[in-house]
Amino acid sequence: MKRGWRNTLRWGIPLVMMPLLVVWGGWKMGDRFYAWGILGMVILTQALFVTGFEKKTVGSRRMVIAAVMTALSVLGRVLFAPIPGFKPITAIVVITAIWIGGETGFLVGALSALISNFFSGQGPWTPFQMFAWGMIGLLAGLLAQPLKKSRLALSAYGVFAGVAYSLFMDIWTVLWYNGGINWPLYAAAVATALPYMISYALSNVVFLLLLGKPFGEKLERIKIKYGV
Amino acid sequence: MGPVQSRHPGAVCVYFLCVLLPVIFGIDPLTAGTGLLSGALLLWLLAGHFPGKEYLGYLGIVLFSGVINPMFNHNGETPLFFLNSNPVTREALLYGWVMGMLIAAALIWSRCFLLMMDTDRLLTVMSRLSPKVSLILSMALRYVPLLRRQARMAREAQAGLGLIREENGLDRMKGAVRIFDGMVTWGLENGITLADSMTARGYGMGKRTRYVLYPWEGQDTLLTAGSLGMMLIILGAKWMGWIGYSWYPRLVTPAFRLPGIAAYLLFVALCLAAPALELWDRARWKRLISQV
Repeated sequence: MKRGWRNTLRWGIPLVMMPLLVVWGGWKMGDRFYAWGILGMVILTQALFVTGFEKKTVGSRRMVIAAVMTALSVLGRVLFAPIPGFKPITAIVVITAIWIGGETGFLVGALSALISNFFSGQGPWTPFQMFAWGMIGLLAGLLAQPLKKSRLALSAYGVFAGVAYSLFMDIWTVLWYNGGINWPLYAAAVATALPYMISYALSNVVFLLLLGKPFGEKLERIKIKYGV
Repeated sequence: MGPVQSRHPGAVCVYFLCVLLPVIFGIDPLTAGTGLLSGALLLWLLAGHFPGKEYLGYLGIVLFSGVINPMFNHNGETPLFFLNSNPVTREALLYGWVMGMLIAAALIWSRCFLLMMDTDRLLTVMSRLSPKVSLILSMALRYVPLLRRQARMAREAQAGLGLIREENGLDRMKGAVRIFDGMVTWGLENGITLADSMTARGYGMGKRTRYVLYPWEGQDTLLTAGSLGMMLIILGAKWMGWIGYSWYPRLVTPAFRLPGIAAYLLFVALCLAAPALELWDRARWKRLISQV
């Protein structure tokens, strides 16, 4: 594969493309900038992450574990389908991030969103879901130490992830629809999504408490036994 | 496999992007309407039957959007009536409808894209950006059916032991968690075995080559260059102010001079390229069949 081409992308995205997007978008597109600027940023961030990941030396074991966790979070959505609104995706992303690392968490989150949308419908929101779940994973990786120790912190993070995810997706809905931010419309969107937000937060906490310990023990065991 | 689908997935991606970008940049009833109608035609051709239900859904989005926008957006200078002492304006109403058309067009083209791009094609495109991530993606896709089979086996075993009673909600939940637990263990162990066999076969040693299922052909270059060129001309026309609408405070339509009209026609041609190729392919097939 052409290594030079990917290197160009690695430097070009943060140093050239992102500033260009901000300056040109803000100058030429005015109000409409917010929606497209954010969409552009979201896609560029992910491209940056992917090209960065390619440079790293990642062992095959770690890669397979990322793949298995992604498949598990996609299937969790199917397995727990009888209980509406209950999805373990966030919980699995967070657990992976805590025990394996934030970068793997980002990847599992983003790929889970991509794959599960193959079953439930792709759309312009896919990059946003990928970004939101990826960031939830990355952040959990940074907070790994406190989250590992305290169940309370873990539950709090679950609530935070659910609320933040819902609010973020609503921001995108409003920006896309309205061009700029419109607070009454945003409030209405948030109010409509409130039941979802509550069920996200609740299911995150339930799954984190339910799966956190056994899951963590298993990952820890794999780490010790095979030295991942 | 249709004529568009049999192109290289990268070229197909570029084509869809070139249709979507002019649609979603700027609130323009002409580009949105063209996108919506051509997308609807393409969806019909790809689905193989008349997708009446889906059309109804998209129509619903357009109508719903026309109601929502004037309720929350009070810009515009032509009030139709007042709602809670807020003006409901003609501009906001029209903007809402056009916005609905735009959203529906974006959704319908995404749907067509999904019908064309299966996971093989997605992986081909991804592997240009990062072979590693696309390898993870392809392994994850493989693990979905594997784990599903494992989950079914675990469920049947548990049900056979009388551990899951369907009528009890808590029981069902606990059962699901137990099965999930087993899946995790099995998946991780199996994954380690897979990783070791990858290493044993030399994964990660030096340079790797990729096998790509879809060769890049001359027609792909034609498709990519053609759609990119047309998109740039259309976006350029928008940049120059030849086409494009302005909504608030007052609706301003474009002047419809020659370059603007040409740009709109170019966009119509771009949108109709995929459905036209599909139709042409079908007509040719019928003709050849009738000659047999």
